[in-house]
Amino acid sequence: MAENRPATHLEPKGVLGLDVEMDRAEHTLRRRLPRKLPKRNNDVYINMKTDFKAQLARCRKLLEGGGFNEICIHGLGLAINRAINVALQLQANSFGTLQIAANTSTVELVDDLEPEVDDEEPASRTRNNSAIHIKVYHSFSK
Amino acid sequence: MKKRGRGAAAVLKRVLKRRASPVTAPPPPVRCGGDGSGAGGMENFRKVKTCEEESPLPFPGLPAGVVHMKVKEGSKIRNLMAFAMARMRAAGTRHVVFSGCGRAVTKTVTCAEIMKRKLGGLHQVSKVQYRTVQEVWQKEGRAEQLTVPKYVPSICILLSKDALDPGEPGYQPPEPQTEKPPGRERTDKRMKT
Repeated sequence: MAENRPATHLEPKGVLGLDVEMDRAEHTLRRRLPRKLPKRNNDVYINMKTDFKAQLARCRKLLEGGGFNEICIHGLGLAINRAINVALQLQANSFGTLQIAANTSTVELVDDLEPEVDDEEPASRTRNNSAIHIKVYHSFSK
Repeated sequence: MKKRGRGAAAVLKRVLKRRASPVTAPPPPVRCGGDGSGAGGMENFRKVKTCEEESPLPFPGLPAGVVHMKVKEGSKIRNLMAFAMARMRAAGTRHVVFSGCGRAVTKTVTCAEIMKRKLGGLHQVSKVQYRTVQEVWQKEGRAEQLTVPKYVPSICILLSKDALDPGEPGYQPPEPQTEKPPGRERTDKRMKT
């Protein structure tokens, strides 16, 4: 849980699972953004910062006014929950005309370790996070 | 009696109002086993229990004794995976189902992803749906209870060693096998390259 804050030696070592090496090295851990994802016009990426209703409205607009027969809703990590929620809401309010198909995947994320002291070199580490891709489509289109 | 009835009605109204905040749209933010405080007007009420309703698995045609991992918010991934992997490595087990709702959804997906990566060649079908959770609220010092149904998003992931119907919504074929280092078990997160 050392996000975006310097791990200085002021912190007690070994507590909270912080690893000792990192404490000594005085790094700032910065999370790089997820790698750029392809974006078609009918892709919707769900995040946790945008208002839920706005995201739902965007999807609805694409399906009803945008002329798309199917849209793809993507959610990463914590936003998986919200992505599912959006998809289910769309389906529930469609009077049975919409179908959903969910796929899951793993996304590799990169964290950068920026040194606070000069003689250390920058490093990075990768970790995985789960993602979901939900296709919402009109049931007659497939 | 009258008073009591009215009280309950008012509370129910408030509950519904609260639930309605993201209304039309999302069912209330998921709070499995949360504290229940901080909800407007609900200070005197306490959530005494929540029970998930048993719903049948959304996969027809599965054998009865299928391994079903019910992922909860507090489940440890290593415990889940140790059990599920052991069962899945046995030749007799053909399927495993991971299901979770609310805050456990992410963990459920992660478990399925880990298993797919470790075992390889697994067919997958994912289903998302709302699951009803019955919440029982009780006013302090009173016997009356209020049961509120709450709809939380849930996910069910079927992983199978046998081929599944590709036409099924939510079907994912196995990942093409790449050279993966099989012995690279992560003991410590920090030991990664």
